[in-house]
Amino acid sequence: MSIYKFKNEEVFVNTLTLYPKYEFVAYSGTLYINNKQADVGAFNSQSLSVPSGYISLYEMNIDRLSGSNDYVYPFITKDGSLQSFKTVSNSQFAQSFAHGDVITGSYPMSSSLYRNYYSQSANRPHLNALRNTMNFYKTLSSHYEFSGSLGDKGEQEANLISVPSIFYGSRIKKGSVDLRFYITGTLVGQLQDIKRNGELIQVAPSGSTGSGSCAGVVLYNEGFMLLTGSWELDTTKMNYINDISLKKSTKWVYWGSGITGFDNDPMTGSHTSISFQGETMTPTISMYAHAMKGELNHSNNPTFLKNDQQLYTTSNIQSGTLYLENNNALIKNTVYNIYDNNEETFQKHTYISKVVIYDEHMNVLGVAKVAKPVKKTEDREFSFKLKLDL
Amino acid sequence: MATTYKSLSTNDIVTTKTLLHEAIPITGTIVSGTYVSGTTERNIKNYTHGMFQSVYDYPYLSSSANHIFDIAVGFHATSSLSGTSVNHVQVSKKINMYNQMAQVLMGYDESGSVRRFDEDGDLTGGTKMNEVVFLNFARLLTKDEIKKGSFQLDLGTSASFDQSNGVFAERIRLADTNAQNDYRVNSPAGDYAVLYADSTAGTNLTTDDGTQKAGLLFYQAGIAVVTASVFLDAADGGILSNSAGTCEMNAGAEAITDLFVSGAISASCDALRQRLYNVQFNNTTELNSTVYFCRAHHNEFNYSTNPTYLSSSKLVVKNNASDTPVSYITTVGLYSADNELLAVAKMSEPLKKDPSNELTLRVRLDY
Repeated sequence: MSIYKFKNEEVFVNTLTLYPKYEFVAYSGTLYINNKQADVGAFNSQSLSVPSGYISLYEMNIDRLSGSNDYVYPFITKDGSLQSFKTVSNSQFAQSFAHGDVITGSYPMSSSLYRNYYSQSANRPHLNALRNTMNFYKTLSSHYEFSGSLGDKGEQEANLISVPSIFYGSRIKKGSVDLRFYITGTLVGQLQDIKRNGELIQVAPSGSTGSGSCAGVVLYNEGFMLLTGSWELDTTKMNYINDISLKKSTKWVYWGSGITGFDNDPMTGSHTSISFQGETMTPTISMYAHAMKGELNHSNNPTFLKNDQQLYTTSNIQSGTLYLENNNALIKNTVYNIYDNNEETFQKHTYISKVVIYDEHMNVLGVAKVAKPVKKTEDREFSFKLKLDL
Repeated sequence: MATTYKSLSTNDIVTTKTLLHEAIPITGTIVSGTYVSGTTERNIKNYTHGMFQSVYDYPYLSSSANHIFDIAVGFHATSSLSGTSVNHVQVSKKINMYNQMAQVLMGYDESGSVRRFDEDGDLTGGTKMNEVVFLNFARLLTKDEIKKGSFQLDLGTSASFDQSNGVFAERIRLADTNAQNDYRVNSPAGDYAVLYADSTAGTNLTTDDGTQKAGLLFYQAGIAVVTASVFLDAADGGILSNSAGTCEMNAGAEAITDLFVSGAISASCDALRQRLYNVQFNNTTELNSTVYFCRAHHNEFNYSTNPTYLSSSKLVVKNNASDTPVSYITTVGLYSADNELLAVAKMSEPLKKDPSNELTLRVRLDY
């Protein structure tokens, strides 16, 4: 085993940017992620124990059901450290639990899209909370302006779609958002940010009402989509606002029926979809380990020597036994030859099977193995690239 | 950017440790019988090396499946089950498995020999467990360690073999009773305690008062070592009463000792799974926190160097020159001794600070 110190130019720290894609389809009151149907378990009809359209965080409770195959759940004992669960309020923690009491939580935790629909002049705390954020981006597009010449988002009919960050990571990739509205299977509207500035512009069907118009904006860093487009995409009236006596024709402000947050009866004949790409940043470290010419050509492996040769030999030079490296040990010649009873000219061959990374205190930090041992001769040189996600 | 630093004294820093637990129930039906497809159990993974078997909570080809534990069996070289005849299957693997687990969990004695698993953890002597079953729980479930005193392993001990739950008509429970007050620390793998057997259905133990030793539980390693004698009656050298009888472990009516000899490790694991009624334990995660009490006295932090604090060289938060200075605290920065910013704590809303009030901001850092 030989040890080399990495030089500065042999270690690179990079960031790997990935763009995970998600697609949600809301159909007949149910949301589907990436067109997957719920997996049916032996105990629970939803093996992840979360509704369709949700992801289970940590996926601890797979195919469990209370009573037959109980859930894993967390608990904590109230003590002087004052630690509790986020779901327990300060007053509950102070008043409902004595010291020594067990506070329980529940799994699985889940996550999905959330939708807020606001009729005209309705109270809208979620949207109002985004006022400063919206105005911050108005340099990109005047459609971001919360209240201006293009309307007052504090008053107008609006549709706010919230995307939890677990679906996108650092931010939603600009220009990747694609919203579609279908009536009886026919595409009646499609929104994309074709200008990459956050404006959701109707791009299809070609020549349709509102084609080329901006129907809303995307907050890429925060994970929100605000739809305010109120032109008719289709004249068929449906129960979009959970009032059977007040059916509405299809508009972007009614997009997303079936997403949690705004309850209305499941409807057939209209379905919606959204797809987007997230951006995740993964720091990586790349290290180059060089096996130079004339180096790494000796091995302390006993198989490196010919049969019956000893790497160490005993000697009686001194009283007692001395372990001494055997200078005369013969190395096995592994040079391949095609002839019988013929030995090729001797060359030192080693086989590199792994590269180990040590810290300054010689603690092993990592081991990289090659798929097949690499033959190293004195006139060959190799560079091993080791990459590690941090 | 702060221009005023305040040093934290030892009275301002408190370190706490909180133990977060999770209750982990593992129903026996998951371990055997639920995910059967033909003759294959889709949540059980056997390997070509044949040295242990992995149990998942769902068919392991599903990306949702979690590995819950591994099962292996082994015996010591001095065990009467060891031998070299053609009837002895995977003998060296079973001995290797025992030795490997024993050297990690029990360590070596003064002569450099691997210590055998001891029935009561007193390594100076006593009864050794030579034929054992290992249940190696996944780190996903045990987290930092199994909570002492919370472990229960229920096994079906009916004498006859019956795949339609008949093996569970009589049951015993192996538990680390009172382990929170009585555990051993002489293992290189951390704390461990004795598993005591008690009847939970039927009266089927020779010593049926909860004091029958039947295995060891290693808390940090997350490994239960169960003696094979839990399936043997007294006449065969086990802990079950002679009236209860030795358990038939498979359709061939083999006792576990026979199976250990003539069966592969995977066959013994299969037989054990079919006798596993329930496993229940609580895990533990240590949450370490440091609380920094950041105290703003009445005459401190009443000014700001924020540019918005001034307008035409006047404090904008003042209407008259005689007004008291006011600032709004939004952030607490924790700095190192050489003034490098290490952590930032943000307030949900700014706190008004003037000379008439004092604030203590409790900043908690979890790690």
